[in-house]
Amino acid sequence: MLKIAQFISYGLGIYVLIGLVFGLYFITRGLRNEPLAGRGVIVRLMLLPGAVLIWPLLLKAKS
Amino acid sequence: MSHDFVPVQWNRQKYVYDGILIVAIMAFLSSFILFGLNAKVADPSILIMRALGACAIVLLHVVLAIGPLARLSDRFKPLLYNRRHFGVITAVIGLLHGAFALMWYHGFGVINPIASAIGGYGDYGVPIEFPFESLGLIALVILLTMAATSHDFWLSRLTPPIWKALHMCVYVAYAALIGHVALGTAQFDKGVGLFWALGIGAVLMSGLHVASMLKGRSLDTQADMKTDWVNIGDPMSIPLNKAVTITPANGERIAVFRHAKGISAVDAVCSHQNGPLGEGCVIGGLVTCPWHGFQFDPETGEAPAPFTDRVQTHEVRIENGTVWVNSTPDAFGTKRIAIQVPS
Repeated sequence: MLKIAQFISYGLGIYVLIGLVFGLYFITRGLRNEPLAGRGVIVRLMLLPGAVLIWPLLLKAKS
Repeated sequence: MSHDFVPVQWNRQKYVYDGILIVAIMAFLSSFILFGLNAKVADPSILIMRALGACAIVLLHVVLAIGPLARLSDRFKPLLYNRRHFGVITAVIGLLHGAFALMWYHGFGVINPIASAIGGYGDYGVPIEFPFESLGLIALVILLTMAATSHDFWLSRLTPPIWKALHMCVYVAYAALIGHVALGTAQFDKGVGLFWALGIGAVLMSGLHVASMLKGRSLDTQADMKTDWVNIGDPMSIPLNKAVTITPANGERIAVFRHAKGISAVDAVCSHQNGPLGEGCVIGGLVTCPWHGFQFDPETGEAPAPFTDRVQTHEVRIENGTVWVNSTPDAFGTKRIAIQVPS
């Protein structure tokens, strides 16, 4: 059971890591055409956790 | 609404709402910890962790009760406003509880803390030995995902049906949390008081949701679909500045409002978060959604400038003292002059 748990925990870690890379790209390049107030720095930072967590949905929507 | 996205659309009501919420949370946490210290039931660190966990589950009960309560009584409608901040704060409190528990019980071993929590002990095949942390982790991931995607940007990006489906997972989180607390109590605490509290909470939640669903059905007039035209009845049966909602067999619900200019009909589903527009009221000549205050002109279905949200209008007639509504919606932006009620 511990091996499965370790597998799941590493899987979660990898998911979040990919999400972080994708999220950083998304909030910098991916939002260029979005109507963000001002330079939108705070909004972009607020959107980062969402992009990290649902990156497969965003990728699927893009493709 | 659909102008430039800002971090938070603050206003006085939101400040007051959040302020009261934070004061209530601080009062709950400090009371829980002080009572525990006084009764010497556990170490201060464990008390803080339990206080955060108890606070999160109480908040989740309240946030889940707000929707049904607001449908059952107008007095609760102000609580709907800013409910998303309530949800975000619930997720943050849950995260603090999870982080505290993970570090306290699993943070100092050789196995990584998450693996240790979900697989380091117990047996998934035996209910009483089920590693209850895994249920807490599932609930936490769902609550965090909901909090992280609560900004209007995500609603716009994901589209309302997908966003709504994602956020309906709160009920999965709720079930997982009930299991998490019940199993944790059974395995460590052995007290029956918490079981009763959980049971009462779950029964109350179920009862409220069933009552709300029944009220929603009773509010709706089932449309006769022999023709496109639906009989609403006497215009005066529609409360002033409120709506009667009908449900066509093959279409979206329609809200028929009586307001200062006359009778108008628009889609009963708010374009913002699919809120129950038909349960809203007309304020300053604009149909106002009870969930987040989004407003629409009853004659055009369009939000006032600079906002660009809109809902569809429906044609209305009054014949022989009876209101009729066309169940087929107009194209977006179609203006339907309100039909004056004959005196």
